[in-house]
Amino acid sequence: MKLLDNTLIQALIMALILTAPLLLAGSGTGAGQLPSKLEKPAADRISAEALHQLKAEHHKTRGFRDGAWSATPPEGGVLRQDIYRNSVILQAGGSHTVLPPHSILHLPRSLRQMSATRPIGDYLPWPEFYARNRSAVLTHSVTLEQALGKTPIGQDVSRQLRKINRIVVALYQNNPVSVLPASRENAQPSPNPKP
Amino acid sequence: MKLPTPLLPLILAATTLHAGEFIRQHQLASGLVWDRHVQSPEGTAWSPVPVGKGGSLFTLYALGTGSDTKLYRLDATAVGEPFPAVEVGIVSEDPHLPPRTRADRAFFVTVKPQGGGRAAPLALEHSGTSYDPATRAAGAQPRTSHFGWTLLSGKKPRHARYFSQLPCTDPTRAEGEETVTVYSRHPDSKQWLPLGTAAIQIWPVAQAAIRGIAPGATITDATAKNRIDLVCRDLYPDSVTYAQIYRGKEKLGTMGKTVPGSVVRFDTQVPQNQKIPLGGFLGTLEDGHYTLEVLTITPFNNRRPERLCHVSFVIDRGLHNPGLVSNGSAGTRR
Repeated sequence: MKLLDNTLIQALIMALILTAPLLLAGSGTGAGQLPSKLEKPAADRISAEALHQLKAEHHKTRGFRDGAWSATPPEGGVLRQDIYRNSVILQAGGSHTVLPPHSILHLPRSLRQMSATRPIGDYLPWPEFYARNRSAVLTHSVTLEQALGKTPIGQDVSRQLRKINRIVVALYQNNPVSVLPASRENAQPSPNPKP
Repeated sequence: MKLPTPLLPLILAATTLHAGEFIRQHQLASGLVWDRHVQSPEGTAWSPVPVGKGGSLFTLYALGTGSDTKLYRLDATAVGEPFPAVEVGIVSEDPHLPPRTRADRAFFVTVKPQGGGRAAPLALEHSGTSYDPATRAAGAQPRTSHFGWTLLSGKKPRHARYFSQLPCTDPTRAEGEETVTVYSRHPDSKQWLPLGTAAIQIWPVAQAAIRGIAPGATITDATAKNRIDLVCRDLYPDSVTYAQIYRGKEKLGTMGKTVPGSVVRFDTQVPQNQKIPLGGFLGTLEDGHYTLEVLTITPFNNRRPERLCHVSFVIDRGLHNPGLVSNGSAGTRR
């Protein structure tokens, strides 16, 4: 009886495995799946040779005809978009995250090892990385004017941030942002002038 | 609500986003970078950061799926005064979205300058990524191919017909995705920045084999009850596949009788492999010459059946059975 049960279970498992593609895909079997009006077969499956030939003929007039095709980008080149070259990388516990350049307002000497030049381990989105490393990372909201370097961050605030033994990340609207160096041309009076 | 014009808000539109994804806005003139982390699977949001006089580059990054914990760049578009607005699209005979087609079918690329603004030269890049047939995905070490660059005037809408260029010894087996990206040149830096991207999935042409009957075989009483199986590989994600049988030698375009139990329909995201057991159905046929064909109906060829494979054979049991009846071109025994 036990042998029979095992056989039955095995048969059921096999049936499930064999029909899995159909069960999971929302597909079906049976004559009811055919179109109501079945047409005559129109073509044979194309062979590799025929497709090679078709592509070779098409290649002569390949796509757009405005200009010649080149293996390299046009003069001037393409703006490089290497996220790791254009980011601050923070790492902790076998994971890393990326932040905008100039978004670290304060990096204590004791936590410098968290700032990396290349990614190591798994990528963690910033919100998750921050949640896991609150003991080492603090955020500070800035205004758009401060982010653009038009208004410096108040010196009192900067002084307070430097006393904190945590990495301070600048946020604008709760998301990481660069804080560009204050430009003399654009600089407006600080709301917290030096006493 | 009227938004302050100096901020020149921009819609960040994205589909099927998750918390692991973010949109990076890079103000090209100032160098300001703001990462907006996405909280919902889809939606639209205003950027509170102005595009800026020199324009902004918006780039969508995403965490890999499942156990893949790498960071990927999915899309990028430059907007603002220095850049023309351009719509890039890819369509195929399959109306499915996102776009997809089969390795032997052409697809059509459209580049439409928008808004009637000034015409600026555009550069078009065509590239592709081959999939791992085992996972139907690019995998951790994607095989990327660059098919080249060309320049477009950008003055009027352009359309072009392409065949897949994914590298594969047998081009009918190619699978992956091809991408077309249109770029515009920044007037100051002279660098080319992406305006829009369109992509299409390429799936292999299905294959089928009929197991249990050799071509030209003579089926005798002893072999008439042998199992016949159809072994199908890479059935198109939107397809109906079935077998038909008719009397006589093979002739494309012949309407036969659908073999009971042979019909399988898929409405999926990726191609499917399927073994279809026909059992010992030869035993139900009367003596004569027959052809058995495996057909598939897909969005291609105006959804007319395409023949994947066929086999012609003879049934000769050396006896006359009055119980056998003919039905159209196929004779069956009840």
